[in-house]
Parts: sequence; structure tokens; C-alpha cells
Amino acid sequence: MTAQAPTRWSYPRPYGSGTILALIGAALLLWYTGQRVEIGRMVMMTTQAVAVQFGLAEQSQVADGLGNAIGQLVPIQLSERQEISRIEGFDPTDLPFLSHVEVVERRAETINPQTMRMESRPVRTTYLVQPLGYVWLVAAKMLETLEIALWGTIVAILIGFPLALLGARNMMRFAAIRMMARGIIGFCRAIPELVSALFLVIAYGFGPIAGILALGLYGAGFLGKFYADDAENADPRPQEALTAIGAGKMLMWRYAILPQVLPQYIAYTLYILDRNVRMATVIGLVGAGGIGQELKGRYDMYEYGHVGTILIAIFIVVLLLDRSAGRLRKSLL
Amino acid sequence: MMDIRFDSTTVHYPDGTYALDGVSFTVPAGQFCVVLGHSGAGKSTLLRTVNGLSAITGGRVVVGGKPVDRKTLPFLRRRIGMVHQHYGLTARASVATNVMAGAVPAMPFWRALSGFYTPALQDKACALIAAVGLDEAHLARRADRLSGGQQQRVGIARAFMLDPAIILADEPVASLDPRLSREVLDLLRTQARERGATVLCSLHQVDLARDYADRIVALQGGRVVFDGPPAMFDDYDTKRIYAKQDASAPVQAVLA
Repeated sequence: MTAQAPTRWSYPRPYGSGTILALIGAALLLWYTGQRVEIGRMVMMTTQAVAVQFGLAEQSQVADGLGNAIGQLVPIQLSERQEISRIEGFDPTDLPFLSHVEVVERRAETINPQTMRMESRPVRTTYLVQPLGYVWLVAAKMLETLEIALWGTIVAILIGFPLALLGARNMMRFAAIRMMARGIIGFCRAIPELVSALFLVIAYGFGPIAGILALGLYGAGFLGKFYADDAENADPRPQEALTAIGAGKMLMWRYAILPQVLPQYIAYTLYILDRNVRMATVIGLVGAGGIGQELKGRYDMYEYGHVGTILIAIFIVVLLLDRSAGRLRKSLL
Repeated sequence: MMDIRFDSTTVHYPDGTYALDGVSFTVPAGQFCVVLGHSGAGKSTLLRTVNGLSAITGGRVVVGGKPVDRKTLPFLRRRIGMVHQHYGLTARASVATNVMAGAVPAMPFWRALSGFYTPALQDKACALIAAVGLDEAHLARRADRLSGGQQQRVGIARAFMLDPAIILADEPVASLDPRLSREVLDLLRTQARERGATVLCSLHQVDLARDYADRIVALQGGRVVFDGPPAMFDDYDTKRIYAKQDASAPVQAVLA
């Protein structure tokens, strides 16, 4: 027996003329904006750069530029050299670990005051050389970066959590307070860390405080929103059960909401920690402490070897963090 | 021991429909009173006016001599346990936590928040969990890993944590099969008897109501249409409550 429709029904089409019109409109809009941001030039220059690699083109501005920049990053800087005369209270019998003293002799052109003639004389400069000195410095800066990220996350929780409680419909009865809390949360999330760090550096001066606050404020906006949304979406039945026996809002939260939302809360918080480590390297560029500040300083002094070391350090840390954060998330959930 | 007195209790919604329309009767202390009625008859609303989950718009509800209002609610709610249709357990929390949740309003705030309960309370929770037929192995198990019947047992244990004078049971067996329904109602009845609690229990199954109630109050369209001992509730009453619904009800329209 074959299936037969009782009458000829019109089967719904997968898309109508409205969808096609919208797609054409979107294509036109993209074409227009593409012109404005020079997508054509981007494609052409990139193609040219690739073509140079295969010997299909003579010259490429992009390939030259990139090659120059990368060429300057290597060899990366590992050691640290310091003139002994500039080290305060230097004790040659008590050298730092893994370091040695190096004497460099070079000829210096000076004017002999008697003869008033240029003379070439040997000059000896003594350096303290620490073969892995710069690596240690980068490691210390990296640790500071991780500390900024950690404390940024703690500040984010401390600000975001109370705001979430005030902004969740099932926790706060008064709409005015909810709106205010949601407003603050939205405001925190709307300002990128890099921008707030710029202003916080002016207020708190260069260093980690500005970084911690910048990360903390953005994180508070993010965590506040997601903590509050999850609390609102939690199963209302246990909440009513707690209300029915006279439990206050905080106890209702503790017994009827927290157990339900804890896994998501942990996931959001870990995401913010992960994000903060990556952002902490960036906000250092505006002077908010950590490895970014070191990076900016070396870059401005054209010490690209140092920059290379820093970039590799950032790469390694982000890679390690990516794996450990994933593992942590798995073991906690 | 507390009684419940409904005194022309009325709940009506802004759209003009009445959930309760001048309900008056008294449940004496210690009675197991079953409220019967089809869906939408106002059973749940009636129960919820007793602990203030539904606000009354007319008349009053007097519990243990105190009228239910904003001032008396904090005190009354601690004396009124509730068993819910969908159990109302926190899914990811353990049985131990769910049962203890029934006692949190009466313990010091820091203990409730931190989860360090007094040994006396822990013993009480264990005794209740044993009384509802669960054992030590269930303590740490997540509430949503239990069967429906077991979940309602946890719900009952939780309702008794504060030695309530009144138990409100809102369709406690609606999601359970007939055998489990009888087990759960048996449990509710014996526990209430032992502790001298007044029970106001809504049901939609007439046979269960007849077997367990000391008294049946039947509601239809928010009004009391029967009030008497189970023996008096006969097939005629059953038909009256269930068969002849308001012709404008949407269910009727679909079936016709």
C-alpha cells in the first residue's frame, strides 16, 4: 500500500522569496563594506606574498615586511650583560648563580689633550654576564602576568557575584535595583580591558594594580551576566519549596540554585581565568604591568631579540594554559 | 497542633477568572483532609493560600488562630511543611542536602550557609530518611538519580524536618504509578499520625481519597461541592465532579 495524501497539500518550501531577497541585500552590503575596508587589496597583496614563495612573482611588500620583522626577532636574546661599574655594591667574590665576568677590550678614539691629536687607545670594560639572565627576567615578568590574571579573576568574582545576585529576577524583587545591577554589569562588559587599563594607569600609575582592576572590571561584567542568567534559568520548583518553608533569598540560593548552577559557574570562571592570562599579556602594553610592559619597552628601544624571547614565552604559556585549563575543567565537572 | 480555617477564601485573577470563589470550611488539628477535584478546580490554589504562595484576594485563611498575612507568614511557614507534585528537590544536590534544606530556616545562618549542621539535626535527618524507607547508601546520592517514588520519599522527609504542625501535600502522587502512590500515601499518613500533624492533601484519584482521607472536600470551579467523610462520597459525587465539567472548558471543546 502506498502512502497517499488525502488531497494535494502544498508542502512547505525550504526558503521563500523573502530569504532570497535578504541574501541579495546582505551580499550588496558586504560588497559595499568590502570596498571600504580594502578587501580587494588585502587579497591581492596576500596572493602576491604567497606567489613570491613559489617563485611566481618578483617582489612582495608583505613578504618583505614580514621577513624583515621576523628576521629581526632572531637570534632571540637569552643572556643579560651588565657593565660592572654600573652595578651598585658589586662583589667579584660573590657572583650570582651561573654567571661569569667578561672583560672586553676595544679601541677608543680620544683626543690627547697634550698633542691635541686623535689617538687610538685600548679601553677595557668589565661585564657581568648571566647566560640565562634575560630568560629569568622574562620568567619573573611572566609570573607577574599570571598573578595579575589570577587576581583579576578574583576581583571579577568579588564584584560580579554580588551584582549577579542583585540582577537576577528570582533573587531580587525590586525591578529598579535589578535594572541598576544589570546596567553596571553591562557597562563593565562594554569597556574592553585595554581601554579601561589606559585610564586606570592614569589613576593608579604604571604597574599591576591597573592591570588587575582592568581585568577584574571586564570579568565582573561577564561573570555577572552569566551568573545572573543561570540563576534565573534554574529549575524554579526547588526554589518554591524553600520559599514555602520560610527560607530567605540567600538560603534559597544556597540550597535550591547553587547546586544546580555550580558546574556552569565553574566553567565561566575558568574561562575568565584563561582569558585573563591572555589579556594580561596585552594590557601590559599600556603600562598595566606584567610581560606586556616589558614587551612594549623593548619594542620601543628596537631590541627585537628581546621581543622574540618574550613572544616565545607568551606562546609557551598560552599553550600550556590551554591544555591545563581543559584538564581542570574536565576534572571539576 | 494547628487547625486551618478557610473563611470565604477567594482568589481571583485580573482576567476575571476565579481560582477560589468563597471557600469556607475548617480542618481540625490532626485531621487528614483530602481535597478532590479535576485539574483547574482550585485544589493547588487552596493549598497554596495556607502558606502564602498564592495571595488571597478576598476572605481570609486562619491557621492555628492566626490569619495568614505578611506579618504572620514568616512564623507560619516554619510550622507548615509542604510536599510538592514534582517533588521540588534540587536535582544536583544530594539526598542529605535536600532533606536538610527542610530545616535551614530555623538554624543559625552561618550553619545553613556553610553546611556544618549540628549532630542533633544530622541524627534527625537520618532518622527521617530511615523512616521514609531509604537507607544510608542513599544519603550521598544525587536526588535526580533516584526513582520517582524515592524522590517523593525524600520530599516527605524534608517536609517533616521542622516538626510541622501542618503538612500541605499538593498532588503528592500525581507522577507515580498506583502501587507507589499507595506506598507514598501510607507513609505520609503514618508520619503525620505519629507527629500529630494536620494534613491538607490534594488528589485527583477518587479511590485513593476514599482509602486515605478522614474527610473529603471536593472542589469544582473554585467552590466546595462536597464536604464529608469518605464513606459518604459515592459514585454520584464522582460523576458530579468529573463528568460534568463546564461546557466552556477547552478540554471539552476538543473532545466534542
